[in-house]
Amino acid sequence: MANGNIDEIVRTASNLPIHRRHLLTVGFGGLYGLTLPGLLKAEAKKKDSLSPRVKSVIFLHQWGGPSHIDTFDMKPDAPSNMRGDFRPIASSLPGVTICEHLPRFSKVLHHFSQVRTMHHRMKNHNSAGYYSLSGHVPPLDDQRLRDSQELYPAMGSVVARFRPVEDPALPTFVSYPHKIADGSQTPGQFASFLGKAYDPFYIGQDPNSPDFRLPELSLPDTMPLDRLNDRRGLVRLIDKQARLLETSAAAGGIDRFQDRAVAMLTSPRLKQAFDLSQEPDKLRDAYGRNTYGQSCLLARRLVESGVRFVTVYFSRSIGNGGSGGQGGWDTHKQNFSDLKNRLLPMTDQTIPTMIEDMAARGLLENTLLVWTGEMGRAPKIGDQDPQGRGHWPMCYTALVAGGGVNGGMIYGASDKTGAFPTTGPTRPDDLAATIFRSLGIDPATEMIDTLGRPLPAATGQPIEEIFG
Amino acid sequence: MACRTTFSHPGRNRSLLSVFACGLTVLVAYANSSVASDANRQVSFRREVLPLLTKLGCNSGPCHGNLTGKGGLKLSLRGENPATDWFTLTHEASGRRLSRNRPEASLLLAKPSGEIPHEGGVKFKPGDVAFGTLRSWITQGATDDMEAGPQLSALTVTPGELWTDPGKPREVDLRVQAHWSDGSKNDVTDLAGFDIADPTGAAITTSGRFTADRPGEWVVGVRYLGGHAASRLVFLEDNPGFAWSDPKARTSLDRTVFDKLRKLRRNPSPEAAPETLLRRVYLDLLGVLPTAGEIREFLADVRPDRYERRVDQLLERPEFAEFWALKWSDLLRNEPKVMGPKGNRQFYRWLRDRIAADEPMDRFARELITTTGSTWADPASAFHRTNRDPETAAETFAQVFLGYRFQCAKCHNHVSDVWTQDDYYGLAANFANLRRKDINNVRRDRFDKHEVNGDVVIFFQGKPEITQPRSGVRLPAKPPGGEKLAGSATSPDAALEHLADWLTRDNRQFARNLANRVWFQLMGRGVVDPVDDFRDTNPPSNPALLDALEKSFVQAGYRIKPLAREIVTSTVYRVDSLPAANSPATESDFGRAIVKLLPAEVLRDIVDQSTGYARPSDDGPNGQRAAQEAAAVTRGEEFMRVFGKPERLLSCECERSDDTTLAQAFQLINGVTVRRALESRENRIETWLRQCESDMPGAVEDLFLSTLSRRPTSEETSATTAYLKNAANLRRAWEDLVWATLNAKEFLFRH
Repeated sequence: MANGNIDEIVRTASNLPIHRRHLLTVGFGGLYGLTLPGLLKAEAKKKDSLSPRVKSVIFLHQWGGPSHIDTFDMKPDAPSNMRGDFRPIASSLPGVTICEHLPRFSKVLHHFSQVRTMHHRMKNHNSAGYYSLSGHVPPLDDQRLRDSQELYPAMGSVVARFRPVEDPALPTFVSYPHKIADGSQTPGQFASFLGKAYDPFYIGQDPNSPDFRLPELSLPDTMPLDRLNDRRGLVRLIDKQARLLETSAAAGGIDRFQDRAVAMLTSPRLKQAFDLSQEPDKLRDAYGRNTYGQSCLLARRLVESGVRFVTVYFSRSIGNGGSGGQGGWDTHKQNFSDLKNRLLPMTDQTIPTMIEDMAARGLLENTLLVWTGEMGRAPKIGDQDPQGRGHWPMCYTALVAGGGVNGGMIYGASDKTGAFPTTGPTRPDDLAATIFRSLGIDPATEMIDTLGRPLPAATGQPIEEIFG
Repeated sequence: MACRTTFSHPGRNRSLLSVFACGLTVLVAYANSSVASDANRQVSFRREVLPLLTKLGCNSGPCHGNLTGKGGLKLSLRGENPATDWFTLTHEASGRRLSRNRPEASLLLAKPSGEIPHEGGVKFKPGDVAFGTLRSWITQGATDDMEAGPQLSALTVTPGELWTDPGKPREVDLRVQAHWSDGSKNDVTDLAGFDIADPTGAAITTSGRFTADRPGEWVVGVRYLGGHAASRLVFLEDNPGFAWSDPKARTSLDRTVFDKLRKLRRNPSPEAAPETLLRRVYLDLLGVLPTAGEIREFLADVRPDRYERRVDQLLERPEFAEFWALKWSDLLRNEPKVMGPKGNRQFYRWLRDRIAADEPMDRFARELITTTGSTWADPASAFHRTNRDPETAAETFAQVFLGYRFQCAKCHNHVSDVWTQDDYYGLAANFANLRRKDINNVRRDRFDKHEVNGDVVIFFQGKPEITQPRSGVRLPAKPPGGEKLAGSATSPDAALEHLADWLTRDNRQFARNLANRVWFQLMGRGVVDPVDDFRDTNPPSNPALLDALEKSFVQAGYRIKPLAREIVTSTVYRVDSLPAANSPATESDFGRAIVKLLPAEVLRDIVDQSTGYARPSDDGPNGQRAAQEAAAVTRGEEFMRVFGKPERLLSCECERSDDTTLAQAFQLINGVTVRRALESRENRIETWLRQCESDMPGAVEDLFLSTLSRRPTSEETSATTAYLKNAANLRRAWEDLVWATLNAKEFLFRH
């Protein structure tokens, strides 16, 4: 009975040997540069086991494609039709600048390692989004790429498969507050061929809403807990008559899930993690009283409670702004005013607060924080209006903090206009491998798809250089 | 899905080959000049070295066969591209991988033998056969023998099947023989790869010694140079108290299952209680429950053939056609986005009407394959609407009609099957001259190329040929394993007619595949399992049973209903899901009814049916069952998604999930789908409340018959009536009671 007994699957998964150790990549340059004994020594040094570096990952996904040139990788010396309206200012890192509209961020930049050579070729949001969420190259660059079991799972689902949390009252992978879409739902947000057991615990609610609560964990008024217990008692009575539970692993599996669901409904642990009212108002204000700010605060609380992988989506849609202040980073029009008035102020409020809050609580030691979008924006100004910037997957910046990351390191460099990496490109595959590696999952770990093919968790190489 | 391709760029291949040609000259000269001592037998690169690397897993996906290689060494996946691999091993990395003067210092030996650190671990030791073979090859000059020599014509493994009595060692040495095109044969055990289908409790060494640490049955797949074979190994359990229960065999199917069980010294479960069997057959044939009245009537019927009579009635009910049209809608990808709302409904109805009329499946398949024109006027042409390119059509054709998984062969020759990329593209070529004209396609989303909501007209243009992307060769239409389309056949529909002829005229695989699918739908598990994975290395669990099914299906004129009738009236269908008391059989041998979570549509329908709730529908009249809805899950409720209704983007049975998850538990406990049925003021609870006033045990009995298809036990009657009597709010207490029956495993599972 395939997938019948979920506990067994989880147990097997956690006992799985890690097949392949992480390998040092040696290009030909490396081979010629090193003597053979030196090379082997370098390999041997890498052989320490894949012990996890962190307990948790927070993946902040900036949907729409944030402009790298107008934020972290500014090009003040580029021609005027490229460099843009904003000026760079100094930061907490000597010699490293940041956009003038990120003044608070400038003071916390030393916490982050910047990967300035993110690169791929998917020009459409859904394909690029899938790439950034799964770490696998999409089969085609399609504006409405459809999700199916032929595509790879979300990184968080892979984590749920190979590094599940032990506490049965906690989910391994939580995602919120939207399912992202560009016309059709973006692939890479769910478990795909891994099976529904590894889907995220998804919350489609706004953490900034005053009545934010989990529908699953909220019983209607007509269902006090003792009534639920009565009901469970009646089910047990009936289940006892037929001996299905004794002989069927699948029946036993759903019975345990029913118990677990009741435990989650009745136990305060997860509910408390979701109860943002337990935070001081001042801190909630500091994170920002908007969906993004409170979502990031919730991410910190979830990680504190032991959740392994949290994905926060910046916005449901790519589109820029409008009056509601919602929408993503897709600044085809009014790039500068939208960044200056909406996107950068939000970012400058929330992320510095979050990183300092996490640092003060000691959470950065065992949490990896990743900030990235699915692409960057074109160096040349002028797109759907003269002030817009178009899509640009060929070069963009990702930020990585916590989890032993070498804070302040600038990894790689883009060219003088921010158009292409000048050093080796870093692909979403590599970022995914880095994330898996941090959690102690060998990127080469095999997953079996619906056709029985063994497929690697990630085909990239961890960006070892950003770790201290 | 990104497949691994190796050097798909033809230009790159050519340049590599030219480099390799001059390298070869140098090496051959080198080899001829020395090393007479090792020249007792020339080691073949293609027949020995590469198979050895494949066997050891060196060129597998996670290792050096990876698209990006490993540790700087990249080989082609499972040795598909010998010329490139030879060049890589002999020339790349400054030639350091091989050292002819000091062979042991070659990385090819030193790394896998653990002499120097190897991330992939120690693969062999000096003194092992593998070490010796690789060493000889190196000292002989590390040449590539190119395409020279005879080709592999067959691979055999001995024993092909072995039954070992209890008490004997659970150990066997497998021997693998290669048969060559020149008539010669030789032992290739040390070069062949072994895969145990279910490796729990068993292991096999590289030299072919199989050991099991418990009694049981295993299938070992053997592969060498694109050839495949399988060995079935059974180690009987010592059950001295075994006495064959001698169940009554009603059909030819029973005899094959019982023959195997008896040989396995295991007893099938006794026959299930009549009401359990009745529930099962309603759910399997119709996807609905028997009503309380139908159960009472059935139990009161004293005729010996009451069950067979009931089966005959069920097969003619509209729910049968609707439920089976749902299954075919999944397989044939009848999903609304590409089919459009109207096309989606038309195709569903077309399928439903064919099943209701019990159209022979050979005609059904022919219509699907050969019909062109308007998909609205003639919905059979929907096959070519929903499979929008030759590759997808080929994959669907192979998977649905033949039970073959061709997808792997798109990017590389199939690893565990005989199919090559040429087979894949030869099949795709059959569909290569089909074109689609979208009529009135008014996309709600103009960027969405996947949305086709008007009519589509299918027509022909050009020749049924396709270019194999790796070789660059233009391939003519050819059924997999059949004769290619004759050059004289010039009519545009010739390829599809030829393909349909090949498929439906005495094609055993077509019959076996469909018979196996019907068996799977009714029994919960295929004789070949998964049902769409027929291959030498995944043989049927009971070959005689598959033969019997095929024979019945062919004798019935390829019709579903007679085969379904034979299956559900056989004894193996009637056995209980609880194990026999003495030496019980397992589910996989069909000696015991399979317990399985019901499909999403059936679950929602029986929640509504048993509570008497007419659920509002946005796709038809209120109370329309989920199994009557043409659309896939995309517009459905969360309940349907969580319980695994497929989106119909794949032609794979596996797209329908039967995973059990936490989300399902939440749906059952607190989800709106169940709550609406339960809390509706128009549901059956009102009836039970009225009946309760005069006859509480009678109302409880009616509830149990309506939900669990059985009468309550005395313990259940007393406990539930006590619960109702003590209730402050009787309506709520009834809701609790109904909820409890809907959450009981007996309700959720087919058993």
